[in-house]
Amino acid sequence: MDLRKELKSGRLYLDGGMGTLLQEKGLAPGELPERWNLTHPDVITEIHRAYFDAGSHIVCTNTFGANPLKFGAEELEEIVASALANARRAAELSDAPQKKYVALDIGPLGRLLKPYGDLDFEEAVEAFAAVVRIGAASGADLVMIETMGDSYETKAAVLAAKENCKLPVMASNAYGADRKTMTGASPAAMAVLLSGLGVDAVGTNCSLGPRQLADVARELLEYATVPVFVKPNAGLPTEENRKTVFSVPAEEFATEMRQIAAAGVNILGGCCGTTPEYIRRVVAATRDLPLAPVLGQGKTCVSSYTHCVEIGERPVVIGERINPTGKKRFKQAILENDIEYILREGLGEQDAGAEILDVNVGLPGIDEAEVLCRATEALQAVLDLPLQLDSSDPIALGRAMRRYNGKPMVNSVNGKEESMAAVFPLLRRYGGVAVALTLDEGGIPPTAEGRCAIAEKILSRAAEYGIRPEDIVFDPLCMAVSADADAARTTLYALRLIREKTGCRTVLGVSNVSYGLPAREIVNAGFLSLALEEGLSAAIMNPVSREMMKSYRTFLLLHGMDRNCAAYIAFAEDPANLLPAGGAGAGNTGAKSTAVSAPSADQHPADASEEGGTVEKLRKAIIRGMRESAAGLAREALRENQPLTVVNTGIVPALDTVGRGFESKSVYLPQLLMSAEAAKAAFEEVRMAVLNSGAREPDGPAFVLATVRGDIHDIGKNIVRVLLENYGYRVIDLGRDVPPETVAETVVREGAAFCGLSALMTTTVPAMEETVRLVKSVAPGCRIVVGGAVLTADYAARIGADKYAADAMETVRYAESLRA
Amino acid sequence: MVTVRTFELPEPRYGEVCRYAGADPDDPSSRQAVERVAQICRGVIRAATCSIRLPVTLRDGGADFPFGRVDSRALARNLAGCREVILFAATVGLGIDRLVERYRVRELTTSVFINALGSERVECLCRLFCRETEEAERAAGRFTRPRFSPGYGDFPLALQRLVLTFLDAERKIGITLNESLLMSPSKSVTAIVGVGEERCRAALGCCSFCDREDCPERKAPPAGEN
Repeated sequence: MDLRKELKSGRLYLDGGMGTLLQEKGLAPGELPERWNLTHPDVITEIHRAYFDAGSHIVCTNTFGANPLKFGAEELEEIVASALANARRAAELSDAPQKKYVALDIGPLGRLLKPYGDLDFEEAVEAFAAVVRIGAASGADLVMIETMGDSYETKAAVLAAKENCKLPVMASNAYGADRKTMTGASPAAMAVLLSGLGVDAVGTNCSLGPRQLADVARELLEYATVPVFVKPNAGLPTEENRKTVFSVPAEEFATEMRQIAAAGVNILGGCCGTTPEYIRRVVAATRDLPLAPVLGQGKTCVSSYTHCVEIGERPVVIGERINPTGKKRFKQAILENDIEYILREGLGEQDAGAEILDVNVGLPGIDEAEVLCRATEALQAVLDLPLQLDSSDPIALGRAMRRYNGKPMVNSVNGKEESMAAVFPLLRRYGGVAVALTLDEGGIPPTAEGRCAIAEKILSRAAEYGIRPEDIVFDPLCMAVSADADAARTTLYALRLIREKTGCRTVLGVSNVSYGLPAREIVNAGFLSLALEEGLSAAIMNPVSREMMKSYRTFLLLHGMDRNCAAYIAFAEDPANLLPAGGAGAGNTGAKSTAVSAPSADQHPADASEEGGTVEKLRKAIIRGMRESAAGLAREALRENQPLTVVNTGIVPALDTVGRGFESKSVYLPQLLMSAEAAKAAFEEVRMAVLNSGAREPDGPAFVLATVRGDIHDIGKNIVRVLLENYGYRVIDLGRDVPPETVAETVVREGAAFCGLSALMTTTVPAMEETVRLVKSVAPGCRIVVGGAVLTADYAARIGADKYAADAMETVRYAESLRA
Repeated sequence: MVTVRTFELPEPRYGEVCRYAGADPDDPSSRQAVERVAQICRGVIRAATCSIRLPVTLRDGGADFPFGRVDSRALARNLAGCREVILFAATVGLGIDRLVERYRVRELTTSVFINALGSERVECLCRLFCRETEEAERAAGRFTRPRFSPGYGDFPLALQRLVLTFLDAERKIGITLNESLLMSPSKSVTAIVGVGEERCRAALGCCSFCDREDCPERKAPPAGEN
């Protein structure tokens, strides 16, 4: 039987700890154990042989930390090759009767991936790939990726393995006592991600003993569609008489592992603190147990980097607002690379109750693949909802699916041969749940039966690619009832028919049904209720729409899917949700944030009876940092005044007042920020007014901002940005850890009059110097302002900067002095 | 042997959070903001340390440890009289960094306060660890020195890499280092605590050992821990 089949359906024993055994043999703290493959090959071989003799089928090479970030290329090649040779020799020397395999062991790289570290995803893939190539060429039987604390790094490692060899791949994560990985993933999320990537087994190892890992194992078993393996530590280490002793002895370990095996884990081993004796006892305690089938089949799940969302009996809301169709402001944001706008929409949808977010950035004239990737990465940096990647361009889809940190939903595939041939390979490679539209080369069938037939065709074709039915969700499409009176009925019937005939889940973009009618929200909400009754599993809709959410929440309540009626009560008790349509924030749920409501100065909103006209009230609202009042007053002021008047007499003077207070230390930083945020809210209203009037926004001077290469501190830069925008500058914020070349190119491309650089570490100040030099060489007229805790005016002058700014206001004052 | 510990932290120190945020502690809205972010962050803090006891050999202008040779007069002054040290790393986890980023998008002020709270939390964790270490050493008749971190005075930041590798901090508590020697999670600290047979006769503040008289963050010796 080949190894893949054995992994799928056999009882297999892995090895135990290596590091702890090497420490007993003299490995010093801080010494790299991988080098012992070269300096102490006999010791390594002996340990492997002892595990084979104890009953292990698979031993892992002593290459846990062997990667290009820690070793030079030549040494890496030597280490990995000798590690494989040492393990192979052990297999030859062992007389144990079982089949013996050698796994190329791959641990974390030692650097965190972006956005919270500085390692790019593709750099991580390439680093792992280097190890895989050497290991495969040196005779590894499989790849074991282990002790991973980050889902993104795990994905990078799995892709590297699958793209650089044809060996089976096992992938394992380390969980803390809270049953989460270091970067916050649940076992369900990892099981869904890794099963989707096509690993041969998914597991957990290290950190905890068998009793603590039992719950992790149970959750993996519930969600994985591949076999599960477990390699616990021998409990916690303590020091006794200057020796390290682990809290769980071998006999107890074996007893606990028997329970884990009985729960359905077929592949067993140990980690830190375990020895060949532990494995021997585990083999003895479990070999008589029957094998368990893989449990996680039949679930339709997507995941983010923290959790998974099941599209099951309880319907799920997929937020549709990240889509430029019919939205001038959104289109403008995409064309201006204003990713922040997309982030705000996403956060708003999450607050309103969406569990998955559709992400569509398709516009003519843009590089959709690039924008979709950037939007995906930016969204997954600030929120933890699974995403539905929405594009008709397979290249854009493929790139975004690759960079996505989880198992995405993919919108969409359809019954056309060209579509299936483009999208199914992507699903196979990266994992995902596809929204499958029931149309084909013949168009959209007018009957439910016709749409169901296409669904069956799609399923059959998907199976040829190895895609499970659970990973297809059918969208039977809905035409507008204003054009076809039977449109809604046909779709509703199609929902039921598809569910009954295929067993698959269904999804629907709910709002098309009302096209061409007035009060669309009411029609959509009614249609949603009917569709949910027909078993709709997921609705692509506007979660900020009160009417839609009323239908959704009451459906869950009345069908017993709302425990203790808690979600409905929270929804109903938010007064904004029960306001008549057209009330404050027309159509908006005003949904309660899951956090405590911001105690902004809006708790004492601007009194309508206050003295002064609207513009005067707007100034006061900004000075007091009252964001919501400022937005409302700006809207009011724009009815009577030109936009530029509102800016020049309302917003800017208020900022100047607050800025002077900050400089004289009568106003503190938070107040400055709150005023800036209030001004920003007012500015947003001005922008909308200008946009709706069709006039062009006046272009302020371009100001490029960046935190320099190697530095990821950006709070100060973000404060500067908000202030500059409020003063009318066109800010191009390059973010953090920005290479000098990128800053220079952007300055030239944008014709930027100003460039602001931030660095907060002594180690990153050289990068600032390099950036200043480069910018000055290509754009000598650009004025460079530098800031950051480690800088001084002297140093700034020495490196050629035009200005050192001690705080955000100083940057603004400097720019304004030159602008005048 | 590297020891890993997790901690439940006491309530945040309001004044300290305000200081990090640049906020007026007498302003009621500051208190509201701090209380709010404390609630937001409550579920995401994962306070953990990893530590190891090591021998140290002091010499003129530096100290030698099993993980490497350190040239630092300030460190040597801090460790005067010590033959052992406790090397430790501490973190409150990645959750704070995530929340800072999330709130940056719509509520920059809240983001600033969350960042400030994160700084206070990791300082609190270090204080707690150092106090418990001090008490344990006192019980054994020994005395500890104020903690001293890479980057203090002339203690090179470049040692950060060796320290974290020695502690196996990535595997133990999830701290990694980027190419600019920035730790992730950002609210992480590494430090050395000297252990000696005699109470340190110099002022107890860590700044006492540093030559940078003009440092804006220079602290006067504390009256006592609380």
